[in-house]
Amino acid sequence: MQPNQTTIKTIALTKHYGKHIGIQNLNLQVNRGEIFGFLGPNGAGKTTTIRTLLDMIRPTSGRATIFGYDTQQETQKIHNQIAYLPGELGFPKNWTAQRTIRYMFKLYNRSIKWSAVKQLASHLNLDMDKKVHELSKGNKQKIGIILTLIPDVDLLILDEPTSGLDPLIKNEFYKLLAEKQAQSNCTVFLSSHQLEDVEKVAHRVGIINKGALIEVSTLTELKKLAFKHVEIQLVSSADAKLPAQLTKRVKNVSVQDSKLSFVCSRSNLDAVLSWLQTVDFSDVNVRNSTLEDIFLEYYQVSPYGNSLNSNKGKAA
Amino acid sequence: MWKPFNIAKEDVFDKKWSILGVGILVGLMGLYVINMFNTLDFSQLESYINSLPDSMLALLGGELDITNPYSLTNSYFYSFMWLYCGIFLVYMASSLVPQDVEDHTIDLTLSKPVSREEYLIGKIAFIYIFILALMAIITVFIAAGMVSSEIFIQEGIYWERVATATLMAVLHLGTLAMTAVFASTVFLDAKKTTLAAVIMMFVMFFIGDFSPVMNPDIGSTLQYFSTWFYYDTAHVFGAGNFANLARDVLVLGAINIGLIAASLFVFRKRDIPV
Repeated sequence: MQPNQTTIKTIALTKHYGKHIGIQNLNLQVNRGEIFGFLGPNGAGKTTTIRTLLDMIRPTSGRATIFGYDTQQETQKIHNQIAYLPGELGFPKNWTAQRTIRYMFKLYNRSIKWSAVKQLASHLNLDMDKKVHELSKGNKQKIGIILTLIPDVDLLILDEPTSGLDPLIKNEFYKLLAEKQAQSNCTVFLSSHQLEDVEKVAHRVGIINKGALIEVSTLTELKKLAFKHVEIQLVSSADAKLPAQLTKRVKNVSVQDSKLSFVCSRSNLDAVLSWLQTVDFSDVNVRNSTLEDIFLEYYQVSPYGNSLNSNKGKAA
Repeated sequence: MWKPFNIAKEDVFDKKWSILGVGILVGLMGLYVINMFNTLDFSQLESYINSLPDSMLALLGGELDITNPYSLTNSYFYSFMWLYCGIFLVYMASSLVPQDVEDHTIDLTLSKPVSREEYLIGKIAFIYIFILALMAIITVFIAAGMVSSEIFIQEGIYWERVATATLMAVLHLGTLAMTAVFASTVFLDAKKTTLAAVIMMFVMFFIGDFSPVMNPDIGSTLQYFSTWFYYDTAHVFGAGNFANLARDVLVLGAINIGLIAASLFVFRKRDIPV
């Protein structure tokens, strides 16, 4: 592998399927040793990005490199250093789990410790002698997990890795993934439409929607961009009315008896606190947006009725 | 281990019963055809053939001699190899790559350090192994039939005819299967591929076998464009005439290679659909 701090780099990567846009001008950089969460709703372009990186599909324009190698020209050098878990996982139906795993590992230019495979299969409670068509979706996914976590590679590309897994196995998977990453310092590119999955392990996240990368940031930064949910229990219902200068700066104002609630950006909190000094209140509760709120905001289906991006400058 | 070999090996393992089943079935058919001739009076058959009008003779295969056990075995068996084995092979070859695409196994395979060329060569190697194994089984039955047939013994056992007919059948079945592989790289869809390959097979059959009879002026030229024209077991097996063997082997071999090259070229360019 070439010494390069950037594991994945895309430059104006674009893929069109006829008139339909798969991804558009995607500029992405994933650093060595990080777990990068790639978030987006179904059809946002996550799988198209991954398949382009893996040279399953060819970009309409732009280019991508992995470990500094061109994804179209030096595919095998890249593939020898990666493990991929596809979203649509398929195995030959009449093969046993064991045969499938052995076959897939034989395709690497490296030896795989079978004892490690057996250990992980046992840990995941996977019967490797069963034929694939006899396995549940979750158990098939476990084969995929073994194929991904066992090889000693520098990059894991995981496309919706926990789909079909029950919560216990899901948690176990993220635990194993975090352990693997910590031990090997491999890079992980983890795509998901479920924020809670990515949140558990990711160092940074990228949000993609309609083929375009909207945001790349750390989870902490992402949270900073979020709105504050404010609830004020006033002593008198007569005070449950915001002054005009604040009304313009907050959203979703609601009044229930003497309880006032609204949503505002971080930068407007000072103004809210100043106003609070002029009224009698018995309780104040300020809550950060959950990541789910932020996530939804980026998808422009926010309950707040406007895009977080438009407030980003002020909030930051 | 060479990766295409790994890919081919797994397919052979998966299809071992198909190889044995089809091979034994068609081999038994060949054995039955050979035994059928034991009761025939070839001198009477020759007089009957000679009494037929030329137009009727043309429809039965023109000037070909069908008055010895070799030529009759060819007429009933080798000349219909495309029907006995070809359709099955086309069906199987049509679905090899598309099946992997449709059930998404190709995603995992191609995400490993396996080039598209290696993957496709593995699939193609499997098809040729299948054809070779199939023809080997069939040939064992044919050979057994010949050595146990009095008529063949009287006529003489000519192993070179058996060997060349087998070689021609392998090459001809190869062209049919490679047409299907090529179509599969274009469509990446089993149904469309099967349809295209079967249509192509029948077009070739009609051009090669019927066009010279239906329209001698055009057909006599058109037949050169059909693989059927070069699959001439009537001469090599039926009559022991090897004059055109080198040409036929070269043409069929070149068509096989051309289709493999075209398949690799197209497959290399294709997006693998989700």
